[in-house]
Amino acid sequence: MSISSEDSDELLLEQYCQGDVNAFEILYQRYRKSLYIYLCRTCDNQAQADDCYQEVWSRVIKAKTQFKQGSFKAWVFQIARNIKIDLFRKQTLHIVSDSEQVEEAMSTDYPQEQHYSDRECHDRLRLEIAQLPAEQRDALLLKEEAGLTLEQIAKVVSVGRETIKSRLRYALKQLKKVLKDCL
Amino acid sequence: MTDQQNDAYYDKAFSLLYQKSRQEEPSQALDRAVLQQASAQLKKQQSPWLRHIATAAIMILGVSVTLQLVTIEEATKQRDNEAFISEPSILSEDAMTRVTADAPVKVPTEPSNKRLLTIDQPKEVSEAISTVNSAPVLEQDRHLDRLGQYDTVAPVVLPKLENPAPQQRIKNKARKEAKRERKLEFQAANKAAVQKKSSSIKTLDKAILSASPQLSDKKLSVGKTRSISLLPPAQWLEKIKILYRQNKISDAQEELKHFKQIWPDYPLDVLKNSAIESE
Repeated sequence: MSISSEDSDELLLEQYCQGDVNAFEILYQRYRKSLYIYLCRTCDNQAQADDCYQEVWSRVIKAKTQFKQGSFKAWVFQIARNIKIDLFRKQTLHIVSDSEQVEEAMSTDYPQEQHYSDRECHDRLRLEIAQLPAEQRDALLLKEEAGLTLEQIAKVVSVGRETIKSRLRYALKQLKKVLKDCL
Repeated sequence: MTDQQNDAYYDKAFSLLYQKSRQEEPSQALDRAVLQQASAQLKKQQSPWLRHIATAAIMILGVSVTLQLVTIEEATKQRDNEAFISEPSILSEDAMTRVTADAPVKVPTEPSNKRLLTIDQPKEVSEAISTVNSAPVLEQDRHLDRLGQYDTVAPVVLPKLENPAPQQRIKNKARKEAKRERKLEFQAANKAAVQKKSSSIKTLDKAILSASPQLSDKKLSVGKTRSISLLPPAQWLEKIKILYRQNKISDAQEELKHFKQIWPDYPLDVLKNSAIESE
């Protein structure tokens, strides 16, 4: 059976399970960037993000046959989230020091001009996202980066749909407020 | 606009800004590592079914060996049961009374695997006898014990008893009796064989004695000591006596000298007259 880049994630995974490594390459290309950005924006530094990224794909490869039904995308991001939580538990002290870094970053004085360059806006966005409470940040990234629906996010995070909706609303309100000059 | 877009948790401007800010990418080394792992996992995945085949083969082998062992064990048990078998006459009356009256006595059609040392196997008997004869006296008993392992009686299946203990006693008793009979039988055969051998020696002696003097001379000259010394003393003296009668005095005296060396205390009365005559 021939594969194409338009095949669904689930079909590609099935093909990979049957021994087609090209199917996995297509699947990997689809999610490499979004997964990496999700991890970069939730982990404390890039080294951690790299470790988590490799670990996520390693688990996907090993546990490929355990995926039965549902969305592959939601499954992959759930794995990523679990790995990140495990890492967070292991490195609580690291998190404290990083929150100090965040405070330092926040205290950086941005120019008071009305128009910021794109790069400046992007940096500010990253910093503001990092500043959000973990639950809101997680929900926002799963929505914006992974493109999951409310139901899928609720399932990944294991909370109700309305809770996710609420977290997203608060996160967006906060970001719109601090980034009004960039929007 | 969709419902989602109308909702408060979606903002198009923010989404655009977010999409523009997506600049991070995994390094090529990471990509390579992940893809290599994926292909390596596939290779590893292909070997398990070979492993399964190997496991299945080992299991099949194990089961077949076990079955074979069980079959052999059953056959051995059956053979052991048949080994207890003896002729009904061997069983004592006491033992026979314990056997249930209606239990059938079965004689197996197939021959027992044990070798039977009976009259039907004269070659084996003769070989055994020759071994016993050639062995020293002390070793004869050992040979007899070893030969006791042969069955000498036709196998008979003992009927099953209600109580296993008396059956075992009967079997043991029957076995002992059978062994004793076998031993007696063998001893009788041995005795007969020894007698036969001695009679054949006598016949040979007679043949030698009746042979021409020339031939007997030749024989004596070739292997005098060796051939004559093997004879019993009476026969040896008889030969010496013949030599005297034939006026072969020197030969006779030489033989006599040799005879005295081997049998120093043997009475030489038989030769008295011959020696006097020759003198």
